[in-house]
Amino acid sequence: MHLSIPWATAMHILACVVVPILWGTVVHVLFEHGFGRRMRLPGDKPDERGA
Amino acid sequence: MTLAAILVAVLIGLVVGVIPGLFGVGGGFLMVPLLHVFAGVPLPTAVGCCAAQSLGTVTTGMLHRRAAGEIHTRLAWLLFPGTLAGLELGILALERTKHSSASLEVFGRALPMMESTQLLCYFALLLLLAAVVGIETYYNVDEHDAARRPWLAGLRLPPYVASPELQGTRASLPALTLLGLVVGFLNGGFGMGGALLQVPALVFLFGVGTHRAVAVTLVSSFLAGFFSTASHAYRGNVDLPLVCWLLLGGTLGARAGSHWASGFSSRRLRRWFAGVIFASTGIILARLWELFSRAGS
Repeated sequence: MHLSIPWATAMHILACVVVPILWGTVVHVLFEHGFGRRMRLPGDKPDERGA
Repeated sequence: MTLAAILVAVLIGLVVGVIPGLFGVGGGFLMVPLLHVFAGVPLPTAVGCCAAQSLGTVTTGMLHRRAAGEIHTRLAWLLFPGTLAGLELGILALERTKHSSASLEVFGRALPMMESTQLLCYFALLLLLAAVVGIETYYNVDEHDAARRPWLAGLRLPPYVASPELQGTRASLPALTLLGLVVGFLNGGFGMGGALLQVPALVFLFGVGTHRAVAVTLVSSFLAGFFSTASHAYRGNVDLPLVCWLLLGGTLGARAGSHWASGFSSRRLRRWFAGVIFASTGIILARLWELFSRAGS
C-alpha cells in the first residue's frame, strides 16, 4: 500500500490531535483531582456549580 | 510568534475560555471572529485552530462525565457518519475560500467575495443560535423531560434505530444522520462545536433527556473535534503554537468563569449568554464594515 501523506504532514496531524487531548487530560487530572473547585466545562448546565 | 501575538492569543483564549466557564458551552462561535478580526488570522486557520482548541476542552469535559459514569456512546456513534460527512463538506467549502480572488460588488464597491460571504454566513448562523437559545429558554429545556413528546415522534422515515438514550422510543436513522450532517458542517466549516444546536435538537426532536443529550453531545463533539482537527491539520489550517497559547488562555479563562458563575442565577447567565452571541454578531458586522470602507478607499 502506498502512503501518500508526507512524513512531516503525518507528524503535524498527530501533534495537532495529541497535544489538545493531552492538554485536556492534564487539566482534568490537575483541576478535577488536584486543586479543589472544578471548572465548569462544555456540557455543564447553568445550574451546575463547581463542586 | 512574536510576544505581542502570543499575548493576543492568550487574551483571546482567556475571553473565550470564560464562556464554558460561565455558561457550560464551547466558545467556537466567538473564537473564530476574534481570531480573524483581532489577531488577523485567516478564516480557515482560525477555524482549524478553534477545532483543535475545542478538542482540548471537550476532552476535559468528557473525562469528567466519564468519571461520573454519565457517558453514553451509542447515539453518538449513530450520529457519527452524518457528522463526518458534514465535517468534510464544511472543510471542503472552507478550502474553496482559500485561493479565491473573486470580488462581490456592493453599492459600487468591490468586496472580497469569499470572506464577505463567510462572514455573512457566520452572521446568519449566530442569529440562528440566538433564536435557539431563545427557544430553549421559552420551553425551559431543563424541565419536564419525561412529559415532552418528541417533535419527530410521528416521522415515518425508516430505517429506525433504538438506543438507551432514546428512552424506549425509536428514532429515524436518516433524521439522525441529517442532524449529524448539519452539526458536522458547522464544525468543519465554521468552527462551531455544534453543541448549542445538537443538545436542543436531541431534546426537542428526538426526546432524549437533557442530561443524556449533553453526554451524547460531548462524545459526539469529541469525535467531531478529533476528525476535524486531523482534517484541518492535513490541509495546513492548524497553527499548533497558536493552539497551545489558546489552550493556556482558555484554561485560565474557564477557571475564572467557573469562579464568577457561582455568584449568578442561571436566568441571568442565560441572558448574558444571549448578549455574548450578539457581541459576536457585532464583531462580524464591524469587520464587514471595515471591508466595505477599505474597498472604497
